[in-house]
Amino acid sequence: MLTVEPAIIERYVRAGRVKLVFRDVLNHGERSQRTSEAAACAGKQNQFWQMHAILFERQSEVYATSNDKLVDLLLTWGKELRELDQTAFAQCLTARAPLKQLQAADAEQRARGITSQPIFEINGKRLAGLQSIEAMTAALDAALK
Amino acid sequence: MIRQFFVCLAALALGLTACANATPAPSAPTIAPTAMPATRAPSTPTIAPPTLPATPAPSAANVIPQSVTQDGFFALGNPSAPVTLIDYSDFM
Repeated sequence: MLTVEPAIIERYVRAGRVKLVFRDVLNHGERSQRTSEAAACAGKQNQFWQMHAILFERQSEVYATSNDKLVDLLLTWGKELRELDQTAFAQCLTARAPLKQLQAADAEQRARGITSQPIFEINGKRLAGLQSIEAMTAALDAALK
Repeated sequence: MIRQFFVCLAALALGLTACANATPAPSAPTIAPTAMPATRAPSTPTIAPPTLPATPAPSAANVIPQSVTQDGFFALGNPSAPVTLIDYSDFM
């Protein structure tokens, strides 16, 4: 979704025609878990999509960071979200508050065949793998007819 | 022959002491790079501000309604939009 997401948001989501829902797939161990937890912790303060954008934009930095330094990195990024209560965000992140819920959702999804990413569902119709903007637009337009 | 040997040895010893005396000298250049932060300092304020607006999506997220679905997932956009696009993805 990474590359086509901004265009989809501009064309369909901002216009009120499409609701975009993000569901985490935990395919890369600790890094997946920690980044998803950061997004969920920001989400508790209505800042999920802001953190979502930061995380996708800086994937290479997460890859380059050792597991024991991930929390520090994510806390630093949290500071960029000015409306985020930093104390609550830090508590959420260090306590790993959303982890069980994320793991449960991931397990439920795997039981339904969601084992790779990205996978999309447009009103229940599944599209697997990265999609071009043309393919995504065609699928969304068909669903909107 | 022996005399020549001692002369060489003395010359070598002098050379080594000269080198030993010279060892403080390299520390001078190593000090110079540590002074670099002073020159770097002014650039930090210019780096800090652009990091926030660099991400396009936060601005969209700031103006488009955010919600949480009944099953607890984060959603962006009109909660009653005719089409729901679920993105199963990994931040990695």
